[in-house]
Formats: sequence, structure tokens, C-alpha cells
Amino acid sequence: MGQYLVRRLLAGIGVLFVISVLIFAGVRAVPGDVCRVVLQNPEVSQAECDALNARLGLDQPAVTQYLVWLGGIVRGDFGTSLISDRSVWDQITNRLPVTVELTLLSLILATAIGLPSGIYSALHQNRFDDYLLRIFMIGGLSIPSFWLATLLITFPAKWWGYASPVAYQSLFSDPLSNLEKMALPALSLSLVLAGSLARITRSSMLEILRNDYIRTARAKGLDERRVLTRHALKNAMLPVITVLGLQLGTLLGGTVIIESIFALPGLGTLLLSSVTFKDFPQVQGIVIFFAAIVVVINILVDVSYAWFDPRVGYS
Amino acid sequence: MRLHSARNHAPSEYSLFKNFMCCFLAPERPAATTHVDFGDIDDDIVEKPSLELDARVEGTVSEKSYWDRTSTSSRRRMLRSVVLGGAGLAGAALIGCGDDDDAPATATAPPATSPSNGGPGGGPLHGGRIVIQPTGYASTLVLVTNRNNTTAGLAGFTHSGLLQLRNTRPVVGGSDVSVEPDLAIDMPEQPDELSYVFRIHPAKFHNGRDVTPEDVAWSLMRYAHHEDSAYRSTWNWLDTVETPDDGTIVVKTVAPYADAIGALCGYQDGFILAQEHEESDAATTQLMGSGAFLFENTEEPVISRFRRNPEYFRDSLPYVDEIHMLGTADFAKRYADFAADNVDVTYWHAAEERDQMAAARPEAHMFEHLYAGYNVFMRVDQEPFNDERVRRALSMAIDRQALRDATGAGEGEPDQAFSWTVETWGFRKPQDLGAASQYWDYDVAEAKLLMDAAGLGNGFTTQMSHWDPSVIGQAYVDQAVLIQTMWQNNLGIEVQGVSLQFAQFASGPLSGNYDGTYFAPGGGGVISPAPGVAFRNGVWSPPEGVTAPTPNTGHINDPDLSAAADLQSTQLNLDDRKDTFRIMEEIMADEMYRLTTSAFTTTYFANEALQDIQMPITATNSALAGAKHWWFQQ
Repeated sequence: MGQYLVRRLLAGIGVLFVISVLIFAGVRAVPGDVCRVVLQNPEVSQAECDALNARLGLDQPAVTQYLVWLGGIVRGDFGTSLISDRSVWDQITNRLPVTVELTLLSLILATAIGLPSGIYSALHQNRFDDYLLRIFMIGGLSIPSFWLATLLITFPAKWWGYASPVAYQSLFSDPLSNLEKMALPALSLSLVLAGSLARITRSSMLEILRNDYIRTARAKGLDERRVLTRHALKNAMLPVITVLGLQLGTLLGGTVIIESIFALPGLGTLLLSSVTFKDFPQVQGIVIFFAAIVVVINILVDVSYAWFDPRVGYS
Repeated sequence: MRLHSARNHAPSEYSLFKNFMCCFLAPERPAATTHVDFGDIDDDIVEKPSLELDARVEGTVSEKSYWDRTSTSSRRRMLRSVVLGGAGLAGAALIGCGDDDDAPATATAPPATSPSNGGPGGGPLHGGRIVIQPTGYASTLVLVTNRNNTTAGLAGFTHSGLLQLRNTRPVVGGSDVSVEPDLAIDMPEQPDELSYVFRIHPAKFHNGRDVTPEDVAWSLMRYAHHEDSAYRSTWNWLDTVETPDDGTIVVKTVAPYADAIGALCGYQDGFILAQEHEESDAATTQLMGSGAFLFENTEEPVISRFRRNPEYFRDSLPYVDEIHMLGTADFAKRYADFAADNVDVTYWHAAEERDQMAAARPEAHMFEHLYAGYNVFMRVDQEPFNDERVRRALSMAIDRQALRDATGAGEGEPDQAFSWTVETWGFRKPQDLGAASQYWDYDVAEAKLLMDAAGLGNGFTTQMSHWDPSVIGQAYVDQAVLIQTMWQNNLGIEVQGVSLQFAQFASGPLSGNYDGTYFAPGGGGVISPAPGVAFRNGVWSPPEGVTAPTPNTGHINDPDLSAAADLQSTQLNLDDRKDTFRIMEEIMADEMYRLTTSAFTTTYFANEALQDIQMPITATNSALAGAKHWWFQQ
């Protein structure tokens, strides 16, 4: 197990290295001069731009810039925003709670909707309620979250004059306002995952329920609830956990759009504005941070297999 | 500009608005006024001998048919000599003291929202929070080394300028860019044409320290001469700032500069800064000045919070306790927040959005402006755009009414390169530009004749760059695509559309780095109390032509236009300056250096309970100086 973890961690570092190169090159490959964005003035001279680029270190060769940035990351220094002059790490940590909360709420909602729906659907296979649930599952998968978000904002305002609070309050300072603010974003982000979870849970459950040991469990007189929870559900969870782990990256990506639509001060909104303003250090810092989270979660998902299925080994 | 309840929105009022604008723009005033005219700024304004610019020569097009004509007009030849003489005269003329009899050219008094008698004592009520939804968010709080109009909008709450715009209260029109004293006690005295003498109110920075003339001097010099200043190129007119005594500041310009007073307004820059704050790390995370509101915090790019400054130097101001500035980008969210009364003021809504917003809150104040139209910019130094016949043909192949119908509910009016929507500078509508007005007509047959005469009857291939829709919306992109289609269908021109991100566009077309054409707003520099630099640099060229990066993005090299562009910046008499502007706009119209589409309607809404409020055309890109005067009726 220890060796497996070390191997996975080393592979994760390799992945992060590749991502760091890609994101560093990617943000610079997009045409556009930081100077013109920072100074926002058509009257500005090339000499002024050169001076600004020198001050920001953008006059150095790309390799030097990369090594300086990477060295900073290794030391925990994510650099300084070109636009706001603030520490990128401070910016990330200030906004992280919002994004983590939105992601967790979406995950909880998706699980709360998707798992029971999938189980119920499997137990009522090919009945009317199964068909109905499957329509909802496909709907959840098909509707783009940004469009759903727009509907969730517009119709309550049009019908009931309702809109969620404009300002974000932290969960600890004002829990009710916080949850009111986060409910619709979490809902719009969770439905895609809920549909996906419900479908994978349904198919996994159907497969498990046809196994001999389930028939044996029923034959020996166990009540249905016990058969489902102790014998079927736990074994059906492996693919579900895999999907959850993979979808977490999708959820994090989804926060970029959803946070912007609902005006949440999270990492996604910050990333979008940083991309708009070609704020290299901030874009690089946020992307590498997101990537690290996804790598760690995937390792945790892999490790969790052993808990769900003792047959899984890590030699 | 108009102010009324959304419920009363009706075509007749729209016509009234248009007539209101015409009243300001159409009449020509005799060029005999002798003071620097910035509206009502009559205190201590001194006068100078008139700088006569006898350039009002009628007619701009020779009798030769226009599609064969390549020479410049006689008017322009006359201008050349006038410019030489005028510039010399401007250098010699001095400003003398005198009375202030002249009626302000720019000040108007549309009806106030309500009398200021809401409180028990008859005055405005104190208290409440104004939540404002502007068009963008402040990506930085750094004021001098970074340039961001939305940051300037925030600084307008926390900082004072020597002067401020008047148009955020209903004392002048919403597109009037005249100024009034802020930290300054009066408008400046002008002992000569290079000096502006201010006296300032006793005031304190938010850290408790007194504001001194040295602070004013340090601030203005920082904008103008600090090595990292993002404003150096627009403050190069400033020579020195002297502080002869405890309450006096003398601003000296390098040369006579027509925009000096406007540029000293706390608009996008020109805020009075505290050196100890600006040179500390706190400058990146807080705004600290001597303004009416204290900076509380910001959650970029979602919300910035301000609260009342109890030590503000004007007694009883501000009236409201808090201001929250939002940064919501999504229209659905902006609509929902306003419909649900979560937002008090919201900006910049196109016709369709306006109707939805008005239906949601029919009692809300609604302010409508015609905003400067988008332009097709061309590389006029390159073929085929170096031929004015081609440029005119391209203009005549654009069906501007169809563009308005498709993207603006049919609203708006044809616009010209130097936008007439800002009343202060006296620009005219295209139909008032003489013979050149025909180039705004949609006339495909004439356009084809022009193309044939230029030897391009079978069209040509070019490209048109524009922003992607995330920058200023889909309607703008739709206009670009429709123009490409019109050129293809009417003249056989194959245009490749190139959609660019904000940063790409800033360093590409907006810096003059492009081929073919690009489509963009072009009136931004006009909507300013100090537009001269933008007017000049957008068209000015040395004799050998411009090279990118350049603000003259069309690469125009027209000696007459360059001369006029230079001259207007030195003309301290507004009527003289207007004459020069008229020459510039006639050259631009005749040559079709830019193809301007139509001014479009944009709408601002405000909570009906807010009093003494006016949302001006400048709100999108500058400080809301009048917010300290706004108050809630209940």
C-alpha cells in the first residue's frame, strides 16, 4: 500500500509538471499584450509598455520566466497578480472556501438525488416510475448547467420577484444567508452529476441484483432492506465512486461558469477574470491548484476501492 | 437624456429627448466669447482675447462628381493657413480678467427628480444603502500604476478631485461633461493661459491626516511624471504644480491646453492621493482618500463595500450610510437582482433588456442615452482602403436602419466619427455635415459605381476583427457580422470575420496592429471632460505616417486633420474649439476615414425612492461624483 501511494504521488507530480508546462505555454500562446490590458490606453507608447514589461518581469526569456515561476511554486510562492498587485496565493486562499463549499454542496445534492434515484429505478426496472426517473436522469445529463442556472435565476424573479442575496456571506457568519445564496448554484451544478450518478447506480445495481449471492441472501430469509444495503449497495458502489471521483474535476470546472453567473466570489470567477485580463501568474496559479486537487482526489478514490472491495490489492 | 418613470416610457418622450439634444447641437454661436467655457463655472473665470479661427467655410465637396474626386477640398486648404496663424496667435494670447456674462454653452437644468425636502426639517433624509450594479468590476484597486475605469468608479466614492463632473445630479444634462469644484473651493483663477490657481477646502484623509496643497501637488505630479504611472501619456501637458501657501495650488501647463480644467476633474484620474498610503502595500487592497465614503472591503470581482465618512469636509454629506458596488456580469442575474429590489441602480441595458427591466419595476427611474455608435476602422494606408471612393462605397453599402432593426429594436440614429452624443463639444449629426451626409445613405447603386471607378467592381478580400461577445455583448458582434454580409451581398467583398478576446484585441487592432478592418466603439475618448488627447491622437500623424502601436488605429495621415487636431488642444475658447471640431468632423465625413454606424439607445435604471439622482452617459467609465448627494425618500 505504501509503495503504491508513493508511486501514485510521483505520477501525480509528473502530471502536475506537464500541466504546469502546458498552462504556462498556453496562456502565453494566446495573442495579446499585458501592457495594453494593464494600461488600457491607446495613447500609451511602446517605451511605456517596455518599462511596464520590465517591471513585471515579462521582458525575460520564457524559459527564465517559467523556471522562476516553478521555483516559486515549489517554495509555496505563487507570485503576484499582474493586474491587482496582490499575492496569488492570498487570492486563492481567500476564495477557496466559496469554491469548496459550492463543490461540496453540489456533490452532496448530486449524491442525495442521484443515488436514491438510481437504486429506486433499478428496483422498479421497466415500470412507469423507472421510465419517468430515467427521463429525468437523461434530462439532467443533457441540460447544460449554465442554461439551467439562467432559468433558475430568471423565472423566480419573473414569477415571484425573488432573487438570491446579492452579497455572499460566509457559512459561519450567516448560515441562512449563505445557504440561500448557494442553493441555486449548487442545484444547477449538481443536476448533471446527479443524472450521471443515477444512471451508473441503476446499471450497477441491476448487475449486482442478478448475482447468485443476492439470490442466496434472499433465499436464506434476509429481509429486503438488509439484502440491498449490506450485500447489493456496497458492491454496487465501486463504479459509482469512480464516477464521483472523475466528476469532481468536472464540478470544479463547472464552478468557473456557475460562480460567474451567480456572482459568487470563488476561484472560478477569479480564474475567468484572470483569463480575460491575461493575468499570467494568477491563471497559472489557479489552474495548477485545481490540477493538484484533482490529482489528490483521484488518488483518494483509488485508495478507497480497497475499503469497498477487500479483493482489491495494491501490490 | 431624460428622467422619468419607466411606466411613462413612450415614443413621444423619445422624440422630446431627440429634440432636446438637437437644441444643444444644432445652433452655431458667434465666435466672440472670451472665456474658457465649461458651463456654469463662472466663479473667478478670467477671460482672454478671442482666438479667431475664421474657418467656417461652407461646402466641403467640389463640383466634380464625388466618386472621381481624390483631391482635398478648398476648405481644407484654407484650414492649413488658418492653423498656422491660429497656433501662433494662441501662443501669444493671454487671458485677461473680466466679467462672466456669457451664458454657459453646456449647462442645462432638466427637472430634478424631486425637491430636496424629504426630511422632517425639509432637507434630504439620511440613511440607507445604495446597491449599484455597474457594467464591470474593478480588477485592481491600484490607482496610478494601473488604469481601469471601474477602479476609477470606486475611487470616486473614496477620493476627492479638485473638480468633479456635475452630471450625476439633475442640474445639467446627463451627457453634459462640464465640471464643478470638489475639493477646490472655487473654479480656478487663470492669471495667464498656462496657470490655474486653486484654493482647497480644509479636509482630512480617511487616516485622519489633513489634506495639504503638497498632497495635491504630489498626486497630480504622480499621475503625470511617476515612472510607473499608467497615465503619463495623457498627462504630458502638466508642467509643474506649485504650493505658494497653505491653501493654494498653482497648476502650470507646458503650453496652452484646452482640456486642463477638465483633466483636473476626479473623473478617471486626477484624484487626490495620500502619499503614505499610495506607497504602502495597503494600496493594493484598500482605497483611501478624502472622499465622502470610506472603503470597507472588496470581494473581487463580486462586490465592493463603502460606508459613510463621518469626517467628510462637506457638512451633512453624504446622505446614505453605505454603497455597495456589484460586479455581476450575467444579464439574467442582473435582471433578477433588479426585479427583486436587491439592486437600486443598474446600468447599460439595450432596448430588449430595458423593456424587461421596465416591466419588472415600472416605477423605477429610467435614464436613456444615445451612445456613440460603433465604427469600422480601416487601414487607410493600405490598399484598397487608401482610396476614398472605396471607403465611401463601403459606407453606402451599409444599411444602418437594418442594423438598428436587427440589433437595437430599430432605435438609434446615424452617428458620425466624432460622436455628437456628448453635448458639450457641439458635434453635429451626419445629416448636418453637408454634401458628405450622402455617404450615410444606403445606396447600393452609388456604392457600386464608386467601386467600379476604383477598379474594384468585382470586390476584394479582406478581414474584419472584432471582440468576442463576452466583452460588450452579442448585439455588437451581430452588427459586425451583418456588415460583412452586406458588403458581400452588395459589393461582392469577401470579409473574413476574426473574433478576438479582450486582451488580443487590446494589443492587436486597438493598437493599430491589424490588416484590413476592425469593428469597435470609437467614441470612448469623446465622453470625457478632457477629450482633446483622444481626439488628437486618434487621427494625428507625423508626415511620414504612423507605425503601430499607435492610437491612430486607422493609420490616417492627413496633414489638414493633423493640424486641426493639434490646434483644438490649444484653443481655450470653447467656441473657437468647436469650430475646429467641426472642421475635423467634416474632413472625417468627407474622407470616410471611419465608417460609423448608429448611435444606440442605452438605459440606466434607479430605485424610484432615490432622490436627486441622475445617471449620466459617463457612468460606465468614471466616478459617480454625485452619489454623495443621492438620498432615499423613505
